Amino acid sequence: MIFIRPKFKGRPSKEEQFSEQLTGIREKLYRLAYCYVKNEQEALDIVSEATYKGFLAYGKAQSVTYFDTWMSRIVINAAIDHIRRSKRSVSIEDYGKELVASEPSTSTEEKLDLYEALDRLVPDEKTYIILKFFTDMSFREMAEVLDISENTVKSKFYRILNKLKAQLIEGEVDER
Amino acid sequence: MTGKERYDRIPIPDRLDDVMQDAQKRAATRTRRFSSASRLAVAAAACVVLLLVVNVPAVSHAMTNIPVVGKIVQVLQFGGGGERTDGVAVDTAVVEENTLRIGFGSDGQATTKVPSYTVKQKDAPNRLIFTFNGTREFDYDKVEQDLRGLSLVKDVYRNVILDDSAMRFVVELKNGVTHTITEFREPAGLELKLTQGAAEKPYAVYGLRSEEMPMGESLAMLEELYGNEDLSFVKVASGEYVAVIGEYRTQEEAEAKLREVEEKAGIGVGESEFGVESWMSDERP
Repeated sequence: MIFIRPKFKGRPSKEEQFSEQLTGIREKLYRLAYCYVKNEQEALDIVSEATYKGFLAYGKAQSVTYFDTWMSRIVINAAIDHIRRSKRSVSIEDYGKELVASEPSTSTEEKLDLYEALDRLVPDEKTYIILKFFTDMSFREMAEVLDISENTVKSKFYRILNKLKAQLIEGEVDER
Repeated sequence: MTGKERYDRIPIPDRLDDVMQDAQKRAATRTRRFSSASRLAVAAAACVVLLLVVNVPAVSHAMTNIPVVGKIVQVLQFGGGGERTDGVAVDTAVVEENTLRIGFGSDGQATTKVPSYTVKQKDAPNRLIFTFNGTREFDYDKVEQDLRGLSLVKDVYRNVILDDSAMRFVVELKNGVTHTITEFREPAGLELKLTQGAAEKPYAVYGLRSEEMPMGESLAMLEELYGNEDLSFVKVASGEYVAVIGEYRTQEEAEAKLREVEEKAGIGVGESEFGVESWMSDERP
């Protein structure tokens, strides 16, 4: 009898692992990047930079448990760096137009057009709104992505939200 | 439409896949280039240790006296000469003020021809870069000590080189010092003669330089990665070293060179280990 050694497919290389996992979240990463710049080309630049950095870091890392969370953090950092480099970052006080109140409602998201409100926030602040309202993350997940404590996430998030609400109220008063 | 709905409807461009693939390819290329350079650097480091431990006594036995006669092969200021050898011992002797004779021997006898060598001359700062090949028995400490004994020499330092049979060192000269190198055969020798000329008025130089680092693996990797460029290592004020590419008279030329280097390396703007810097020609970067 002749035994033929079965041809096993080898374990995927780190490059293959990275590529495979990235494919599953590529749209999410693009949308995340897009929210910061609201421009297709710039969002692609950010995703490209994050992919490049992620690939290099993945090769050196012993293991990456939560790939999605890990890559989101890299995209966020790349987006903030991109804005800082482009010197597009403008403090909230510099924005001329007021927040527009939508139809009266009790929900914060319905009250504020948060997608528009992003334009009034500095890059770091945008992150909290995007992660909480658009990617539906819990505070615990946000804490993992941002690598800070859950309590810090909560306090920063509510501070930003209060700032937006205050602007909304001022806008409403001015309209009257 | 709520913010969340607008977020979910952000259109995904067709190019997204290509952009991400390209970024991975760029990163993969860079990883491969670094890992091959690392392997070579580790091998070189091991060889340097071997060289220091094994070969120093052999040099002292090889040449007790350096012959100072011989037939002139050529006189040069920069360039190269000699022939391929293996395991040649190297020693030096000061033959007159500011003239140093480098002798070569094997099995206790002076060799007839100089081993393969190159000499590069750089201006900012004024320095000579010697590289000898096929010289496994190289008493570098003695060479450095004798060179430092010459009054027109400002500094001498060794360079890491990813070849276990080669030796490279830099002789930094004082401002206005000129030199000639004479190659001899039968017996083999190189004579470095330094002369004080008129001091040159210092001028601003622009070049590409890396971060400061110790002389070692990281610098060797840079040479491996940017080997096709006119790259050299320069000692800086802190006592550490930088890799330098080019010496230009204008910032524009240096910036154009940086773009060219990054393009050739297949990396994006600002992704190389180099930045443009200016320094005075008689000073260290």
